[in-house]
Amino acid sequence: MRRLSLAFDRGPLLATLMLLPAAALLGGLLAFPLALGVLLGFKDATIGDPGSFIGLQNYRYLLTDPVFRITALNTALYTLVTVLFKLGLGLALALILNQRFAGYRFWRSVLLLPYVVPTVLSAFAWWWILDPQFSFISWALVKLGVLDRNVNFLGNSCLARASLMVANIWRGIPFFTVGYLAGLQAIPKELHEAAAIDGAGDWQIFWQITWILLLPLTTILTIFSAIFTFTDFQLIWTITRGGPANATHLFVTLAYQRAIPGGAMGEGAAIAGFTLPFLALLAWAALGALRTQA
Amino acid sequence: MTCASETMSFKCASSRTRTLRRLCGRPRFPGRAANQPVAAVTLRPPISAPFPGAFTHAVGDGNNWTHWALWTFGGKAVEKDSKTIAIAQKPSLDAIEYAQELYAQMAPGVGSWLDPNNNRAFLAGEISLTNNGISIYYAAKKDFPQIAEDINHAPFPVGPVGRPTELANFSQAFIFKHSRFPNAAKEYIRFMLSADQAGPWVDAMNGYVTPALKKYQELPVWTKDPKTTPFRDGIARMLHNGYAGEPGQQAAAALAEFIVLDMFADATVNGLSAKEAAARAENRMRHIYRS
Repeated sequence: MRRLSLAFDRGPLLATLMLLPAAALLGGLLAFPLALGVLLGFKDATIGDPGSFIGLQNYRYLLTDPVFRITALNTALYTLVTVLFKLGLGLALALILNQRFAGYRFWRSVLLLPYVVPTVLSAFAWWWILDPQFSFISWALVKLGVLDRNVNFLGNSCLARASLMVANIWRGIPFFTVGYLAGLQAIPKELHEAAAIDGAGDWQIFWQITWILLLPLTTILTIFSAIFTFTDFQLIWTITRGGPANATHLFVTLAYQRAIPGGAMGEGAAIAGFTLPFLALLAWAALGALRTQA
Repeated sequence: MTCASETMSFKCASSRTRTLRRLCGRPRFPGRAANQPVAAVTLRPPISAPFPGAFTHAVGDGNNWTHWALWTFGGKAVEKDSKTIAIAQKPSLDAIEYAQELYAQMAPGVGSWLDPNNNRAFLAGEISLTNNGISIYYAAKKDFPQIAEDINHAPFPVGPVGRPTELANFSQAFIFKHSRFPNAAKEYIRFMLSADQAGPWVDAMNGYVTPALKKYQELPVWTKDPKTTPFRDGIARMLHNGYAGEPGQQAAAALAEFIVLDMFADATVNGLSAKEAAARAENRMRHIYRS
């Protein structure tokens, strides 16, 4: 009994015991399924058939598949463009909402709406906004005489990509705004006052003080937003289902289409497997940024 | 097993197209007799009316019309042996060129049409002809009686191949091998598909879906309103998915991945040539059939 209590006193044993539940939870619920998914990518499994090990064949095939290539390009473009816009617009909105004006509390909560509404619902709303026949944007433009026919928002590869990006940006702005609002409020007023007394203009104060102090936060917000965007599914699946002619597929929608309705589990897992290095890189960067902040 | 078949839904009296107005009394597109030489007949006259079909990943409407188009020109995804891929042959190219011609006249935006879009465009008066289940007519009867009066249905036109080549959407009922009560499950399915149960069910949905048994052709729903009749024989007019190969996992995968539909979309919305689009479809088919 005494020896046991001594062992506990020394630390390592107690620490291991205390960590076990968390480790079991993480291992069982995250690491194990992930490992299974990665393993599946090396098999020719279909629904109903566990398949056999085929090495890198799925990956090698995908690299030659034009649909996969366009998907990779789409995902990169989609993530890059939307995150940049979300960052810029989110920051701008945060700067505005950081001012005290009549009803600023109301507007701050309204701003959260795109983020609070379930994505499938807002995707349906966007689907109507972008409808080839009944889009109110087209309707207004035609009535105003700007255009003589409806805008083909989703029926043209390039416009479809752009339209989905706009919808994604709309939904993702609040994430940045809320983050930046918190960041802005943490910046001591004295710094701005001191700079103003030294004769700095608004623009200078923003770039030399506000922006610099927001940089660590920007890193974290960008990385997390990139992860969410990279793995976006609902918007795409609701509005275009990857069409027209596979022009709007992202990694996850293509992985789903091939693995679940198409039944090619191994290949779908391999498509998802392609996202892992990027996501790991982003996660590593995020953890690094968090650590330097702490 | 139940089947949702589609026909061409059209407005006749109010249509601006003569072909459609002519169909008022006789809901059948002029087709081709089986003994005529293939080259003698083209599909152009029957559907010179811009026929808007879905070009994006619309599970029912998109797959149905593109498979019809492929097959009616004599094309097929795979040969009888379920191994040799045949999708990039001449008949496919004919079908694609036909679709390219149609696409130029179709309602704008068909590139983004999912299953509900053509229903809405039809009821809103944007189009007069489209392929669909009976749901447009059903909605019109409920909310737009004037349009309902003018709607009629006809089987898909018959092209150079000389016989109907429609695709129908099947829903199967399965009993898992590991089921603990297989006999009860079988009995349940039998009961649900028996005339007493399924009859009123088909009746209530106006014939949108029909159990795939011959006896159901005798249900009063098919003749009570003659506009419903063309839907009755959908199964007789169809080819199975995966034609000319066997239906099975590979055929199902090809359908779920929209290979045929995307071949047409690639050659229209995406601007590829018929040959390039067919070659893409062939590559993917090869992969699915591992041949």
